[in-house]
Amino acid sequence: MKPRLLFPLLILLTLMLQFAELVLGPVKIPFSEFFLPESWLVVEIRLLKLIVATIAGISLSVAGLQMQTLFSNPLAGPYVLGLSSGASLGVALLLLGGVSGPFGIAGAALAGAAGIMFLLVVVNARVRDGMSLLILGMMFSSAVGAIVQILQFLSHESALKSYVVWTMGSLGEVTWGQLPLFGVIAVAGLVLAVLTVKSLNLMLLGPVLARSMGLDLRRSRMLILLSTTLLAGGVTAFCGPIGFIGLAVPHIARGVCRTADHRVLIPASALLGADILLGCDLISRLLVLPINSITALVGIPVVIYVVLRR
Amino acid sequence: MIDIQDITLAHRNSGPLLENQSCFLPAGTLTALTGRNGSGKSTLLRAICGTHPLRSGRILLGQKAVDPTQTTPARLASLLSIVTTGRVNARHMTARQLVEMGRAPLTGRFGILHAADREAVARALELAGISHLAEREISRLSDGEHQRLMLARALAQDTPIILLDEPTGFLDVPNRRAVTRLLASLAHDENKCILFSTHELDSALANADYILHLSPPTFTLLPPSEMAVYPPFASLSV
Repeated sequence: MKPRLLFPLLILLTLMLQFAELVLGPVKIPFSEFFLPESWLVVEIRLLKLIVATIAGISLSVAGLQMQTLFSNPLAGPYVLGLSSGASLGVALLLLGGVSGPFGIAGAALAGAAGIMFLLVVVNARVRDGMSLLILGMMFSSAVGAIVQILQFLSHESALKSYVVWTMGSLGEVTWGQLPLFGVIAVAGLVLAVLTVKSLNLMLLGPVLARSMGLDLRRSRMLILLSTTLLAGGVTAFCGPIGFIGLAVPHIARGVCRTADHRVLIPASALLGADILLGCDLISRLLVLPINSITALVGIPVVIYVVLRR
Repeated sequence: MIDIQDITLAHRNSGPLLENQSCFLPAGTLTALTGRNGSGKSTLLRAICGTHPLRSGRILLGQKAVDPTQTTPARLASLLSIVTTGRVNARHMTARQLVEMGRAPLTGRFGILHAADREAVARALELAGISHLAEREISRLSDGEHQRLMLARALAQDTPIILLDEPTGFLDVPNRRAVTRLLASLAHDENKCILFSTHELDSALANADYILHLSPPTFTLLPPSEMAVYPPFASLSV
């Protein structure tokens, strides 16, 4: 579909879904009573959640698109380099290891994701290609997973339960106080993503040609890595790991736009990501199910389709 | 032009492929790079791009004598473009979009094309003889068409030097001849310095202005008429 037609449509769809987030839910509020003080308690929660779902959908989808292009791998996603493992280590240390931090779960998760990111930036300066970076990312992620497992094994039942609940992901844990920080992190990640569109487009041609057209590969990889960490790390810090959105949405965006140009794919992924996560959140609210089970059930058919078509 | 000054070149941890060799490839000429498998054709091309280190000596590119190992990727991209054999695999990308990428070194941060860029892209497509394929997705091009597309991308980059690594490798005989003839006319009409590696000795002899023949640890630069009777080269074509 032509971008000129698609983008207004997607924006309209986003607004409609956001409106649905406001009015739909187990507690029925007639529109006439919407602005009464006694309704505010429910409306406020829904408003916060729709903002969180929009930011999270945008962030995860753009991060997934970046990773798929960076590694020329259609099955890469925002967590392929171990960002979620890093975040989960931070949270596990807090909840299971009894290490206390000043900013709670979100701070611990952000610190963990930033730690993994720091390691990757350090190794990025030493490795020659994206594949080595991918392998190292997966190794870090497995190592961190092993440490988390040890912590789980040694911890008490109640601590274990709160950790497991965090890994299920939730869009409803963010507070109004945390929202500005979440927003700033996401906007910073998006600005970096927009600034690296040309690098992403060149990377489609492979590293040899990209370099021959003047691209500084190491620098571009680092900026993209930083952008993904802000986007996906931010979401994971505030909402827990939300699966499959970042993996599936870029494929939907490519299919809808029929282009390889990231100047179209980034905004398209962002809007589609917001729409799909808002939709998933509505389903999970109406059926009273955890959000991650819904995103998985929506995302997995897309991934299967991608694999079968290849 | 490409000025190779007294270079020694080797694979990592092995004996030299070239030892203290020099030659000069002027602008406006097509040079074929020949030699047996493993004689270092690709390594020499990479050394000219600055991606393979020299043991000694230096290579200078263009009128301003730029050393590729001492310059920025952006500066190098304005001097030298390359054509590789591998296929580009990007879903939904059209031939025109790929050629437009060749303008990347000349556009701003977001790669927005101006009228002059669009003109250069149209001209590159036309020179490579694939204007009629411009809107086709690259995954649907034949190998021959894809090879011409990669050449068009390099032409859009508008550099005085073009290096091609076996541009005729996967092509049938008529396409091989057509591509080498095209390279020769580009070198002469556009005053470019074009160097391509090949195993097709006939088309090299027929169309190139010079042949640079590698036989480690030396190379020889001769016009085709003299190269045809040069024993190490002639022994290859039997």
